[in-house]
Amino acid sequence: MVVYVWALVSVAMYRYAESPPGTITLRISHWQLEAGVRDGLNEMAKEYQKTHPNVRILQEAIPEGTYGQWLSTQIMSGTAPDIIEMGFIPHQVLLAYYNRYCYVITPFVNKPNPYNKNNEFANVPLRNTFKDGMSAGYINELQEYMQVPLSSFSVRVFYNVDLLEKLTGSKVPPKTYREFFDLCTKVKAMKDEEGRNYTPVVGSKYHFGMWEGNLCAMMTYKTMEKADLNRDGYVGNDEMYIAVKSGLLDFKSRPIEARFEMIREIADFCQPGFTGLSRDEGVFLFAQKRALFMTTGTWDAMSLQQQAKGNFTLGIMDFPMPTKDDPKYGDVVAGPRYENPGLGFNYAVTRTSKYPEVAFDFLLFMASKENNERLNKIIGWIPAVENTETDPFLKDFKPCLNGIYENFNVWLGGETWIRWTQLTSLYQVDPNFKFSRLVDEFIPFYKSQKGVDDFMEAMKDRNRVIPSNERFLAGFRSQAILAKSPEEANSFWIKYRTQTRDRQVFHEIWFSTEMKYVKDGPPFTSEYGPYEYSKEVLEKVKKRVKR
Amino acid sequence: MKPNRPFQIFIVILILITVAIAAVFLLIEKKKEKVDKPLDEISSAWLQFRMGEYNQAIKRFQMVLDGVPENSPERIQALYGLACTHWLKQLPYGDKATAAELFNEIITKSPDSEYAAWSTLALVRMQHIVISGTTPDYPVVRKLYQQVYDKYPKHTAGHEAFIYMIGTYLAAFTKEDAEYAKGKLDEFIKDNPNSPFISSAWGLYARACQNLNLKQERLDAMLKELEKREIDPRNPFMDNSSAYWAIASVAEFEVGDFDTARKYYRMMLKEYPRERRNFGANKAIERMDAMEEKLREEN
Repeated sequence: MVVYVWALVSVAMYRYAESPPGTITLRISHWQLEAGVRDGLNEMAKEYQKTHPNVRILQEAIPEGTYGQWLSTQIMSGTAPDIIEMGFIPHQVLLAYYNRYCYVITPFVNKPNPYNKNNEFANVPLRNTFKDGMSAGYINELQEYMQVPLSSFSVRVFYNVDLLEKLTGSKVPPKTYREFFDLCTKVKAMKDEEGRNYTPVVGSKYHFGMWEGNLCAMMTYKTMEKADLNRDGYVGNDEMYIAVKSGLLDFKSRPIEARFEMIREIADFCQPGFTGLSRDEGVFLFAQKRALFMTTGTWDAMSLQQQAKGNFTLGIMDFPMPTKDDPKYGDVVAGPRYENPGLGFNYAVTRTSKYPEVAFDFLLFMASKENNERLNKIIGWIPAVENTETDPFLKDFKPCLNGIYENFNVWLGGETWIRWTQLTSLYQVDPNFKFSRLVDEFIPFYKSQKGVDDFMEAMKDRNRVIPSNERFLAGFRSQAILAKSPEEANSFWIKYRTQTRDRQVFHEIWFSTEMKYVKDGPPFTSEYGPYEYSKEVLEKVKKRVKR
Repeated sequence: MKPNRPFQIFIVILILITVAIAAVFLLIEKKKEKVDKPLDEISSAWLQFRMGEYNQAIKRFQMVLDGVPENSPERIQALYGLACTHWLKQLPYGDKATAAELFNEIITKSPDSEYAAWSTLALVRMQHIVISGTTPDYPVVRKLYQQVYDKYPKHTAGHEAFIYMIGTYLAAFTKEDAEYAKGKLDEFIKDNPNSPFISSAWGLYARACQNLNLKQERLDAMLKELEKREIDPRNPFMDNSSAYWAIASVAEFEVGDFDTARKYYRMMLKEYPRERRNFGANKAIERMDAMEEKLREEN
């Protein structure tokens, strides 16, 4: 009994010392188990407590595999942390969560961040202090800012500098695709002391997609010239389908063929059977010094550095893009690779928080120039805020804002997705499965079998959102009618009208347009594509120049 | 076995105490239901609606209806909220019959209120929005939208009805429909130069011109649409990059107006330095310059 009472008293005293009366305890949840993240947040909490001694900040780091379920459970039961990292939840559900369970932060984003009062952002609106204008925090469907981004991310190629020197005699990494290709071809033929072949490129389910998405996919930029039917600068899955079905875009055209030729080449540099390997298995090969190049994001940079410490020197390089004089890909490469590092590590404040103003204040604290720089320095990531210093190791993550991007999307729905995944997986692992065969097997399926069903279902899905949009609009209308000030009312009415136009009126017109294109074909021909001058326009320009 | 009398008494007392506590709680709850501030209650009901808690919203709107005088403005507001909730609570159908009854009640009881205008529009929207895969009865829907506009020619709801009506004509793709829509838009723009939907009207005008292959008029309308675009005072950041790109590409490839094209490509480059399409904009400027240079040399 005495021991029991003693235990009770001890626990009570410990709790009292931890959070005396008047203490505000904030909980912050995330899925970032990478090295440094928890240390960084703890350091921020400690700093914040220096000026806010009654605030305690506790973090809950949940593995990403279960984060979505965990967060849903917490939200549903009304026990969600005060500050939550949003993710690992299907997009439509995520929107509902923002709408129902998170505070809107729009009123704050046009005001300066008080924690920037001693730097050049003293009078700059919060949103303009972020590298992306805070677009990562803006939820278009809700027309509101809902979260604060704290870090910037991008993907690069990591390499083993020592191994590179050992195998090639030089520490200088390849700059172009041709150099990369030649180097990998050479390395692939070399053997280590135990007679095992070196692997030029680490492959796994996780890693290969990055090669494909960040390098091979760039070859398809020029499909826009044939398939961007609404001339918005992008090729959507619907436009791609219509362009292929109508014969406007040949699936064996150079940009698509080039993409798959490059996939073949890089897949051949990976270890055998890589498509069945996990992320960790890929990293293991790299850590064992048996592979030369590996691609991953900044989120892994520090973890990789720690693994390499005392073992080998880690280098970072950009994806080796082909140049215009490349004998194989020069005809499809219009320029460098576009890369605008996305901001992430986004945090929202929950409506169940007892102290939402303190929670938001802590986010502002971490989003100030000095603190954001410090937080990311501890973690080993790139800051989200402008004019901040990045760790020298990460300097090669400088973005390229003037370049080409992917214009290829054949995923219409479940059936096409499965078929495409089956065929491309086979293509990756079997060198005898050629691109022409992939096309011959996929196109009939895509154009006239399940592809048609998937397209029609996708069209139906688009129309299914119209009633939900009407709900959103009713909500905006109510806010506008019941607004407490004319300015507030005006803001809601503008949102209402913008959404009415974009999500209802023009949505219906574009839907009908696409159905017409499927039936009658798009208003372009193989000679005159969306980005090609018609004879009429050429004549007009000639006349004008002559004058 | 001998019954344990004290235990039975204890149980009975416990039950009585439980019933008494429950009664007290019910009374407190009942007292709470009295509506002291109906406007706050209506706001709270709409908040429930926006959060997707439709049953809670219905309960609160109903509470206001039960707690305010018969002809009060709050009653109309609550009726409107209740009608919207019944309509939109379970998509795609909702309880349209109840909603229509309530919307009609608003129109009858308070024909001059703004809620009557919104209710009249809602009755047409309920007919326009059909289950995915089916087609609305367009002739009927168009007629009804026109009636809403005729009845409320100066109200936002009337203008919205007009915009929806024109949208249905432009989704049809016949030359006659596009010409009719263009004519109606001409009148609307002339009669309502300051309509809150004026930018949308110009956007639809551009679309009508596209359907009729009137390239220069389309470009002019797109410029007007951009010029009349509303700026949200609470969120002045407006992403116009797509509008710039659309204007520039129509000017370049449809009209052959390279000066306008260059101007808008450049505006995109300047105002949106992180925009993904900037590479394309730079290439377009180079392409136009090169073409003009080549033509000059040929001349």
